[in-house]
Amino acid sequence: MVTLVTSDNEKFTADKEVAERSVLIKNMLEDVGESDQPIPLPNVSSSVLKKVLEYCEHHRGEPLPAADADTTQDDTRKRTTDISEWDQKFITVDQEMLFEIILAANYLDIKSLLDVGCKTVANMIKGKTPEEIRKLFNIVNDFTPEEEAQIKKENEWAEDR
Amino acid sequence: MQSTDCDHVDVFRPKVYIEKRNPHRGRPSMDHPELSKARQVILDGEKDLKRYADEIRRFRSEILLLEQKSTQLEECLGHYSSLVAPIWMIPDDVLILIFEYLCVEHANLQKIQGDAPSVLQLSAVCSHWRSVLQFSPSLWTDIVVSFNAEGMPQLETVQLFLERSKEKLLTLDIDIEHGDDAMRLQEIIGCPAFLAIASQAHRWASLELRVHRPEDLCILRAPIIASCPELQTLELVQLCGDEQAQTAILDFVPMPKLTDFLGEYFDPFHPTHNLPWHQLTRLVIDATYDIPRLVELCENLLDLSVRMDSCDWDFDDMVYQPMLTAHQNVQYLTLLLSSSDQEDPVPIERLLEALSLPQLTRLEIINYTAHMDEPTVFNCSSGMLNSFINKCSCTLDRIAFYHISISDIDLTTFLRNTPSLTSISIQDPEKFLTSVSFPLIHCFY
Repeated sequence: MVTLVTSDNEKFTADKEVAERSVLIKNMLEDVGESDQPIPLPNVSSSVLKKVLEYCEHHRGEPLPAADADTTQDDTRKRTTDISEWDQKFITVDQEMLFEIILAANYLDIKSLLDVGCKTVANMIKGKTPEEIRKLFNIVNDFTPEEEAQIKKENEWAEDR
Repeated sequence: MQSTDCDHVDVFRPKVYIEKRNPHRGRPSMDHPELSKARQVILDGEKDLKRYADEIRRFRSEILLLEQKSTQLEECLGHYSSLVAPIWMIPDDVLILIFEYLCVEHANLQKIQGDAPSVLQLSAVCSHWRSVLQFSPSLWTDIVVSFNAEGMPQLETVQLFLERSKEKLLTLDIDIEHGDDAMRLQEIIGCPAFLAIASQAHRWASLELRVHRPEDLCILRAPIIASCPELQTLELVQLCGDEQAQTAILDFVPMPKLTDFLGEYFDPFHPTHNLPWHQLTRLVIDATYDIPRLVELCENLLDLSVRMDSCDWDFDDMVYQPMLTAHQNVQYLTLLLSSSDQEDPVPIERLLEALSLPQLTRLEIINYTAHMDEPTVFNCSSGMLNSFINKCSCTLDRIAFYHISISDIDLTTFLRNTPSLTSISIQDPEKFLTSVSFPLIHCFY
């Protein structure tokens, strides 16, 4: 078992196999060797780590992606935004939690979880106009008049419809 | 924002006391004190009315001011709540990952119909996203351009993508349609948008070229372009017509890195179709040509797919010359079937008889008609498959039969004859009766 300590000082225990789905934790465990020392995770809160461990537990035993996977241009091209049913249900959370999970997956280096998070955000954006995207994420239109004019020129498609 | 004290306001005190009076009936008495009082009330009342009007104006202006302040405050709060919006937690490298999922499709630069490409829509959200996208050249490298009767892409749009993709390799999908009008072809290859794309031939990495006349392939020849030094994947779809008699046989430009070629309605043996066959490691080609002879030309080939899927092909007279020597590299063979009137396995049998692929490890036979209203049943026999495998002396480790009809006996015979298999994928034909028993199929699925 591995003990993990969150930013709000809560302790979680997890099977080594589950915790090692995080490349960061796997590397840390390899570095310290056999030890009972808890692993501090200063960038992850308890509510987020609870979700992350739920994900890792569900996907326990599945093959981990190769270290250099998805780095080629071809791999990027083949990306689809399909998400499995369980993952979809798992990631149905409010925006703040969604982005916290993405951040944690990025920090803990859990590629499959990062992908699920990014795909979810991509699916939220898909098919929306810039104005709808701004509204969705509470983003302010901060373009200068000159930029607005340039953007209008670049996006004449929408007006041609 | 700071709160401010209200200015001192002169308090309005009306002079006329407003009381509810019953309407006067009959002729009013005109005695002096009453008359004088009425005149005074009228005088004061008129002054009051003017003050009332002034007060109303003042309050209206006050309301307008409050409304303006409220709107300003809303904007200010919007700005502050935007600053703490969860989306800003995401670092730029993760934002780019999200954008990659959204820009996975080619950007169609035709302004005639449809939405603007995702990368342009995302660039119109806010200055930060725009900046991130502008510094992510790989998101601007997939381009679709059509040159047809409906119009041509605008130079500015093409240039925008070519500039923002910096020096990254390009994935292009070019569609050329000019009917039989030779003048129109000249117009296409002379148009500024086409010239801009042609000038970047040095960074074409993948090209899907859909042409309607054979002469359109001139865009792969000098002087239109000089060479394609980075081109790895070329897909040519030539929709109609035979090559016209030409006064001189022109070569395609050098493509030293070409490894993948996909040809549709493309005659590989035509003298002007001189591709670097020996370089290819992946080939997808129509079954209407002498495949064994072509495979012999492709000495480094690893992955061969043969399309037997056009409904207007006649395989009856198709003769494949048996390979003179076994090919020592091909590992994967895929037969793609979808013809609506080719239920006969004979062409497949004839092709397999002519091929000799001792290094083959994966065999896939895929029937694409399965999801059509009237799917075709392709019957596969173990005799045909076993004969091919025995002749090749290959060690298959994977087979995939998708929507192919094969009897239980034939399948078990084939499996017994191929003990090296480690992976078997079989999908039974849908929507029609098959002799394959479901329990057997599903135990391999």
